[in-house]
Amino acid sequence: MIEAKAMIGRIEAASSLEELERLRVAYVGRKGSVTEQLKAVGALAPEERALAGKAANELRVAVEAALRVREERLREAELEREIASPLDVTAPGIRPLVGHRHPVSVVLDELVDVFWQMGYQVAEGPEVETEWYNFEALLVGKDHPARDMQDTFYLEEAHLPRTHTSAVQIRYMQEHRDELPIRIIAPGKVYRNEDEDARHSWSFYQIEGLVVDEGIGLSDLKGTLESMMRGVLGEDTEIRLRSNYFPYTEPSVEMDATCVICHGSGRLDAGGCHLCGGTGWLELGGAGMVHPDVLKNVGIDPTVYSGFAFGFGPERIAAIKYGVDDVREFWRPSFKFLEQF
Amino acid sequence: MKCSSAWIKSLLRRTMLSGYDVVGALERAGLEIEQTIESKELDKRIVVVLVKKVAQHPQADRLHLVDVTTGEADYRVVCGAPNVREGLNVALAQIGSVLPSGERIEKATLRGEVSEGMLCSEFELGLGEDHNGIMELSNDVAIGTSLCDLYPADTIIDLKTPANRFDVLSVVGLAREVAAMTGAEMVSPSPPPVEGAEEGPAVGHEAVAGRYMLARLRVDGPALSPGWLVGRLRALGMRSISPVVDVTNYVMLELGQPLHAFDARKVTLPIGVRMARDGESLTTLDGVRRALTAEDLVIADRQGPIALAGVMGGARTEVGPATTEILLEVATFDATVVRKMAKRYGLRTEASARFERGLPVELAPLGLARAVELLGEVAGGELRGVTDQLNARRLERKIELPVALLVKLLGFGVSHKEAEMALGRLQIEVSESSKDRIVVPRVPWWRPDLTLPEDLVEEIVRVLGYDNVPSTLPSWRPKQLRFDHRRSKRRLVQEVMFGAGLFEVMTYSFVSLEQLESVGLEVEAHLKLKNPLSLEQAYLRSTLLPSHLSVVAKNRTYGKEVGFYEVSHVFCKRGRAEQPDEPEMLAVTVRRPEAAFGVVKGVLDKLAWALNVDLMVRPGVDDAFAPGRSGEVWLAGRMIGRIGQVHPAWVRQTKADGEVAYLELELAAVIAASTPRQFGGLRRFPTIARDLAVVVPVAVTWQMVHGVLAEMAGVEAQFVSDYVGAGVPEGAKSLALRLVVAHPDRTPTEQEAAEVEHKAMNVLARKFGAKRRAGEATA
Repeated sequence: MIEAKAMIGRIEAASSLEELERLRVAYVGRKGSVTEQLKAVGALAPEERALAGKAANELRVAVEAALRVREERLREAELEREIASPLDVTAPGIRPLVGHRHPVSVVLDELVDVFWQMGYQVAEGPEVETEWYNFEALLVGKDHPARDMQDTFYLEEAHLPRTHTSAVQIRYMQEHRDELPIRIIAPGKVYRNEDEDARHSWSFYQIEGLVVDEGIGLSDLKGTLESMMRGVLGEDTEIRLRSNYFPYTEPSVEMDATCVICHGSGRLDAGGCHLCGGTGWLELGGAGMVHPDVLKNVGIDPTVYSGFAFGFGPERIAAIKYGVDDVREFWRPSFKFLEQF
Repeated sequence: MKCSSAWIKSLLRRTMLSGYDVVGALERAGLEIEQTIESKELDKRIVVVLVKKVAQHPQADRLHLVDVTTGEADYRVVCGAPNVREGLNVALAQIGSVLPSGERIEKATLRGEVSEGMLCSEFELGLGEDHNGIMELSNDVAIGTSLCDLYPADTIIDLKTPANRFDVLSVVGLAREVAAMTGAEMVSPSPPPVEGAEEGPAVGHEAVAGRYMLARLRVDGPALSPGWLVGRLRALGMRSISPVVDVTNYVMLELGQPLHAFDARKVTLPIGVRMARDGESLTTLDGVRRALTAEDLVIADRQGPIALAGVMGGARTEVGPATTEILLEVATFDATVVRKMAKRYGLRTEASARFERGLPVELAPLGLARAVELLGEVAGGELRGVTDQLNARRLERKIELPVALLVKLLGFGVSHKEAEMALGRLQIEVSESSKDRIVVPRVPWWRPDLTLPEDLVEEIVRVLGYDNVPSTLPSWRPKQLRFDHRRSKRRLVQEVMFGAGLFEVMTYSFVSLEQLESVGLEVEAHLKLKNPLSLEQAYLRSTLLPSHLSVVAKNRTYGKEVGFYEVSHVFCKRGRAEQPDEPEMLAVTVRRPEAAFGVVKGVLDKLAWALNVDLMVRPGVDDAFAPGRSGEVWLAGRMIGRIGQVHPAWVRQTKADGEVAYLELELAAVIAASTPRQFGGLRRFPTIARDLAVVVPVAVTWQMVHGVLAEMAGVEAQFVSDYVGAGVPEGAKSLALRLVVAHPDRTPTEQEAAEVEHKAMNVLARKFGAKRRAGEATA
């Protein structure tokens, strides 16, 4: 039994799983001392056998129990060691590989989502348009200044890169004039032959909206623009309409929304609001009631149907939303710019 | 245009509008306010003086003793401004006057010298920011004039006006708008008419102007205009030139009718309005000699052109200090002709800007009468005859507005009485107003833009105020609903790109000749702009590749490895008069030190997997790519895209390091073919994997190998790697693949696995001449 005590003592003193494994092999392994002792029992005289067998077996049980207990303790200790040193939970994490969506593309998706919730279909049309769809059908006559080479690009042979998505209105109305009512938005690229600055780029996106039905009035346009701007800029947004002139709508209005930074006050803590220039309002787009002659041009009877149209620029909204002070950044892809989104 | 709130208010009666109210009214009328500048009322005792003599102050280096005169009285003041000099017109604050800051000017003694007042800087007068010296007034101003006449208390408003409204390019027109918006009463200038005057100078007959009026006047008056006239011109940004020219400018600003005065003695009658002849030329008032074309409308006398109609007068007949008789032209020129001339000669003048809007013929006699009246006042003008050629019809237009249309278009109830009131405010006469209709018997001549009942609706809502329009949402009763599944698929594409760690970019659709050539594209196959902004953007791109290489070039120092994608339509030329095809392309570009193609191919595989479409890549030949390193992307028997490693020669031009690979495919085709992924069941029993390394000719693609192995039952072949180089014979490559052996009902045996491997090896040897890679142990 002294032998047993020494064995268990050594087991309890084992400081690592490796040392414990060595002891296990030495005691209860195939050629371990306890195993040998058990084997030796068979060689004893029958009268000694029972007693020695019992003792050897008890020794085995005790050693195995001690091994188990010690192993458990050592494993616990190992786990504790693994988490012994604290982590700097504030250190930056390991960066997963992720892409960067383009801010204008994100805004375009958000805008489409807003209109989808309002029941609008997405319509598309060609970027190279005929003069009829881009101008004449929209009552922009041959001598209108907008048709000058200074404002519009022309292709060498024929046609032109569209100057607005309003051309899509015409195509859609022509194709669906027998399936009224119409409720669409048309997002897409448009092109203007104008010098660039921080607010304007010669190539940009536009979203055009069109609703044609019986009994559509100006108040419907106002309510729609209001809902839409709340969906895009936030529920506390207010809008105002100002009179304006477009050849293809009558009445025509300009739409302003309350500034997202100063919330319409025009003031910030120190001085005027830089975004709206202190007016409290942001100019966001144009709109109006579809001109009766436009409806006639596409074969819709203006004495029965009326409609409204509106258009605005996703780049402008993206610039406001993300605080980008030069819209040209969107089009000169620099990864240093894009990685911030 | 710029306008003055004080000037507008001078045309309104019984009203107490502030400058702020005027701005608000103009804004409600639909005019876009760009800027407003306010100035305070100046003390009458601040006057214009002429510096006669400047002497050094005996006691102070920096001070001067300055003798000035108002013309009636002389003063000596002490002044420290560095810019004081003899002959200058400056502002003197006389003793007792009060500056805008509240400072009172007293008689003072500075270092022993008495100063009888103070010469003021712009800043001290509240007229500007400059306080480095005294304000220099030009010599066109009569001395003795009070500065408050030149700079009355005012709000100067810079505004943008709608292109269809000529009338709001005039103070009278703007006052009419303010009156309508505020309910103020308006008093328009009503000069005595000139129609009864005797016949004027001879005018040749060629009916190319809507109206042409020419008056002969004697002028004989002071050399300088009175302060009020100079002040009003200056407020709107115009310089005083002479009483005659100032009056023409004043009438243009006030009524919107441009006028031009010729020196009668320099003109050889008759005057004619005609198209110019090729070879003719004209030296305009700005001193530039201009060669004329047959598209130019000119005023000509017997010797040739004397003015570009509606744009600018000629130098030969310019009025000057010696002018005693003038021919005053008041005409109605064609808007388009004037606009094109102004553009052609880069001469967008105040006059041409007004003609461009299209002036009515009724305006001319009013402008002439007003000018004659004012010339009588400031230049001793005496009318000696008027010629009037009227070649266009006066505006006679009746509009009937059904009240039902009004209510329908506005979407809220407006009574015919409110509508009548609103039109009345705009001085639009209503002859009948009932529950059914509103009749405007004659559209005012100054509103030719009003043609339809809908135009009247806009006028009514403008006066009622857009702020008073309620907000409603239209009801929606479609006959059937249509669903659009394309957008959810597009988002799936976006997610794949995002998950692959790519940047989304937007690039211009127009590219340069060099960009097209830099990737070996045929320039003739591209649509070209007639009038590009610059040569950088002259062609419509048929592929995003050149744009993407520019992005690589621009960002060549950004990281070791970068990938990006874009979705954009491209333009594929068709027949001459046809609109081009505009497929929408998805393009992916990756730059990295090596294996760029593999990364782009991985994106393609992931996309095909996510959208569950069967995209096939077939080796192809494409000049944009390195030889033998590109493929065509096929879907359902049609080529829809291409993929490849960009030729290193093109990459080197971008000065970027490493490899660049590019993928481009027609998005719509992929989206249309997309189906939901199908669950293939779970394997219930373990499989056995066998790795195999074989040597095959380089032309044998993985797709070919996979194809033949796919015909074997119970095994799936997986690509591990391929290798060309040391240890592999010329023209051959080593291909490592894994055979995964499975059995539907139990775990396959080692014996079965060995059989599958043996069979696979045999098939590959038979089809492709594959050999087991030397040195590989046989299992």
